[in-house]
Parts: sequence; structure tokens; C-alpha cells
Amino acid sequence: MIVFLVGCSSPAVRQQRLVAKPNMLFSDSVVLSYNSPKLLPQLAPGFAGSGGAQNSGCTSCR
Amino acid sequence: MTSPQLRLRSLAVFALVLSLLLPSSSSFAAPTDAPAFELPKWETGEKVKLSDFAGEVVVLDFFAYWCVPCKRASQEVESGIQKFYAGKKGNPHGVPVRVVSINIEKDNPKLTSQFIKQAGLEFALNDFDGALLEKFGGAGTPFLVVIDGTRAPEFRVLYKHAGFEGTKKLRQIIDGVMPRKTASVRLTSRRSASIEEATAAPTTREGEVSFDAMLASDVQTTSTSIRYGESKGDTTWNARFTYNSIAEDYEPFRAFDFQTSARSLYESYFAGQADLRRKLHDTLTLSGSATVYDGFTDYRSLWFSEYYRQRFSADPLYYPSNPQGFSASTGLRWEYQPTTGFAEAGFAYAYDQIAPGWDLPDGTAENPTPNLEHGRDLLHTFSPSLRFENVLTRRIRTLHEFQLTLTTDRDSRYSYRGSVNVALGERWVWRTSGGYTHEDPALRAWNVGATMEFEITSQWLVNVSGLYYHDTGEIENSSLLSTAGPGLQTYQTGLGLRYLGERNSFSLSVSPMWSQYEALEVGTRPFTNLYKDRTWILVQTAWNIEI
Repeated sequence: MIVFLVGCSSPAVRQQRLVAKPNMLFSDSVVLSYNSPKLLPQLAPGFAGSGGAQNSGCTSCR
Repeated sequence: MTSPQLRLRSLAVFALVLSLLLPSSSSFAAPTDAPAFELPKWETGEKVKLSDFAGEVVVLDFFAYWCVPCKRASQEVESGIQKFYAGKKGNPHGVPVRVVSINIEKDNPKLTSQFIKQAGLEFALNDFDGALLEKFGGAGTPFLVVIDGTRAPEFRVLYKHAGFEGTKKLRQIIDGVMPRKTASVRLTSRRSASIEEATAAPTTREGEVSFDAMLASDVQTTSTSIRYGESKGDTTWNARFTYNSIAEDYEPFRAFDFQTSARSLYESYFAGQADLRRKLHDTLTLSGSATVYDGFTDYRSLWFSEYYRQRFSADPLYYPSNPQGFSASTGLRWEYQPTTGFAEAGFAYAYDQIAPGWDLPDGTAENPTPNLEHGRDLLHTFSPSLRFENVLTRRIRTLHEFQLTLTTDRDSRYSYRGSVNVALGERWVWRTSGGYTHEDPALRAWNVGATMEFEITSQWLVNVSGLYYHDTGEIENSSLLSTAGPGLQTYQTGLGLRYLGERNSFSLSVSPMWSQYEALEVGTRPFTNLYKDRTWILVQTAWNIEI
């Protein structure tokens, strides 16, 4: 599990050029968001990650 | 199923997983003698030795043009250390201070040259194979070293650290260095207010505007956000305002609904958000966020609300819905591997006043005319989460996110989302993501997506993407009439264009999407026209500017 999550080791710093490219990062900026449209949780409840209202989607589901 | 004991058990399981997953903390080496070096100057190739800085305090700033945090670190070190002490003619004890910037990247010298110019570096050397960086034990950039050269030929390392902790910390160390012959004398600071002001850590300001649309023939939703943020030293804050619109053609399903009529609906949603991040320690960052909103969060709730309004608004017990709420969250981010390994634990609370469902129960012998009833209209949600981000190899970066969601009167929801980014070559990046959500008794949802991006130039990129989503349907309510969505599949493809400039960045993507529902249960039939298959167009555009 630990290996799955964090790997065995990190590459030497001089080998980090490719993983430091802006499109290789997990950025908070919406300019660099991929496959995560803000509106999709309205349609697909499995994408909703926060808030009871977003999660429930419907109004009278239990 | 939703007893307090079950919730406690869920939290206990989550805490156990957290304790098993968090690796042990990294440690720093004790101060040592600085290794001697002889490196060529960036512009001329002229050799520079450590011994050239005898009698001075030397600050080594290791950087690479591709290192995103290096730019801010180098700018601040140049301004807050080099210029600051040059203006004061040394530290408070009169010891000269020199910043030496060290480039570790051999390829793309034009981009390195651009970095040096933009960061305003005055004195740069090359350490192309990173040999000196490795001698200092550097595992990431930016990497900063403070060396005391006042006891030359002995040079002592007073400080070394991967990641930038701000000029304040560096100044504390530098100010403590005294000349060899007056080591017992501590002079008072002669700081000039004008120099302090001129060389204080610069403030980075950022603005961002984004627009999303999800459009079908009878349902159109949009989201527009404006964000402004500032970053100075150890603190970053952002303020965001969001406006969403929902326009839809409410259309009753005549075979099961004779009481409501078609109507065009339009609703607005407003939200304000503020967040703050502050570095507590060299490896720990605390964050907090608060959000308030007013309006329907999704087009389906608006559809149901209209259905109930038309059916029951004549009843004196009925009241119009007014969805609104707020949320607050906090997180602690731990950089357990310098610049390459991060873990973040978060906790969020949300208070949601939702549009409730309404029902008029059938009469019984004891109560022939029952009153109109409504479902729960207030939800409390507690949500702990864990994130792990790592660089696994020179080409692979990963992100894993786990979330537990506890919402009033519902079973625990467990979610996982994993992402793997792979640099296939100099210009190709492959991004894959997948997620799974589980909520008893019946909701199972999963998705998988991928994006392939190509760098046309260093600033312009194009991408193609695909996303598949599947769920088993929302959890049915026990009453006769249910609004729960049936099982759903969506297929999405997309084309995107991205511009990543020095201070401006921009993105645009257009994605057709198809949504297909499974057969509806009897209790959901009145909403057949809501839960019908649709073809959508998704549009996303965003613009970011560093001011």
C-alpha cells in the first residue's frame, strides 16, 4: 500500500525536469484543470465530493 | 444503518487508514563543513571557487528554469538578501553577504537565460550534473545553503534546505554571523527603513476568470468564477466569487403526471469563497477555507422543486424553497519528501438548506384528510479527506485522494480518486484519472478518463481527452414517489487548447458528451423527461494573469 501511494524513492533533482512541467503538476488553477468540469456533478452524482446538497442531487432521496 | 455508532466506526476506520499510510518524517543533516567547489560562470565560463568568498557570508541558491517555485524563491533571495545586504554594506556586524545562484540544468540554455533575466539574478554559476547539489544532500529545488566564510579557509554550512522558507529566516541566520576578530561583540542593527521597504519579500498577485457551460437542447447550465489572490512570504490568500445559471424547459411526463404543466425555468446561484494558506514550519502548511452560497446547486433540484410547487403550492402548509448554505474546511499539508512527496489531511463541514420533497399521504380510516408533508430540508455534512502527491520516477507523478462523507440521515460515502501523469517524451504528456464512490445500500459509481497533451511550442499546447462515467443509480427513497436518478452512463470526448505564457495563461476546451439512463422505477416515472438520454456540449475556458 505504501509503495502504491508514495513509491519506493524519488528521482534525483536533476532528473525532475519532465515531472516539473506545468502540465505534469496537479494544480489548483482552473487553467490547468483536466477532465474536471465544475458542472458535471449536477448530472453525475458520483463526481460530487462536497456538501450534502451536491451529494444528494435529488431532493427527496434518503 | 446511520446510527452514531456506525459513524464513529467509519471515522475510526478512516483514522486507522491514516495512521497506516503516513510515512515517517524526513530529517535534516547536522551542520557540516562546506564542500569546496569550482564552477563556471553562466555568461563567461570563468571559474569561480568557494575560496573566492573568504570573509563573506555566501548564500547558494540552486535553481532550474523548469522548477516552478524556484522563480519566486530566486526573485525574493535576490531582492531580500543580495540587494538588502548590499544596500546596508553587509550584515549588522559588517560581514559582506553574497548570493550565488547555481543553475543545475544543461538543456535549453535559452530558457535558463530567460529565467535569469526575469528573476534578476546578478551572479549565476553552472552545476550541470548537480554534483555540488548532491554533495550538499539536495534532493529538490529550490535548494538554499548559507555558508559562513568568516573563518576561511574553513567554510561552515549554517543552513541548508530544500524549498524556500522566506527571506526572514535566511536573514536571522545571516545576521548572526560575526567577523572573526570581533566574534564576541554583537553590534546593534543599523537597518534602514528605506532598505527594509525596498527589499521586503515581493507580493505576488494573481487574477483568474473562468467560464464553464454544460448545454443540452432543454437544459443549459453555466458557471462563471472570478478569483483574486495574493502571496507574500509564508502566506497566500484567495477570494472567489461564483455565479451559476440554470435554464431548463420543465416538461411533465403526461402518462404519469396530469397535474403539472410545461414551463421555462431560470435560476441563479451565487457563491463567495475565501481561503488562506500559511506555512507553519519548513514542511507543514495549514489551510482554511469558507464558502457561502445562495441558490439551486443543480438543474435536477430545480426541476423537482417546480414539480412540487405546481402540485402543492395551493396548500397552506406548502412554502417555497430557498436553497442556501455554507461550508468551512481546513487542511494540513506535509512535505515529507522535499519538493517530491506531499500528504494532506483535510476536514470539511457543510450546512445545506435544500429544496425538500413534498407528499400528500393517502387518507386512512383514522385520518381521512392527512396534512401535506415535506422531507428533510436541512443537511449537515462532515467530510474528512486524505491526499498523497508524489513524484515516483523522472517521468511519473501521482495523486491519490480518499474522502469519507457523512451526511444527515444517510450512510457513509467512501470516495477514491487517483491520477497518474506520465511524461512520454519532451513534448508529450499522458494524464490518466479514475475514481470510485461507494454508498450503502446501493450507490456505486466509477469513472475513468485520460488526456493526451502535445506541446506545439513551449507556450502553446493542444490536447485530446476522453471520460467514461457509470453509476448504479441514486438511493431510492421509501415513499411511493421518488426523485432518485436511475443508473447512468456518460461518454465524453474533448479537444483542448492551452497557452502558458510568462504572466498569462489561458485554456479552452470543447467536449461533446452523451448521457444514458437505465430504465426508471415506477416511483420515478413522473420524472421521465428529466431522466432522459441527452447529448451535451461542455465548454470550459479560463484565463489566469499574474499581476
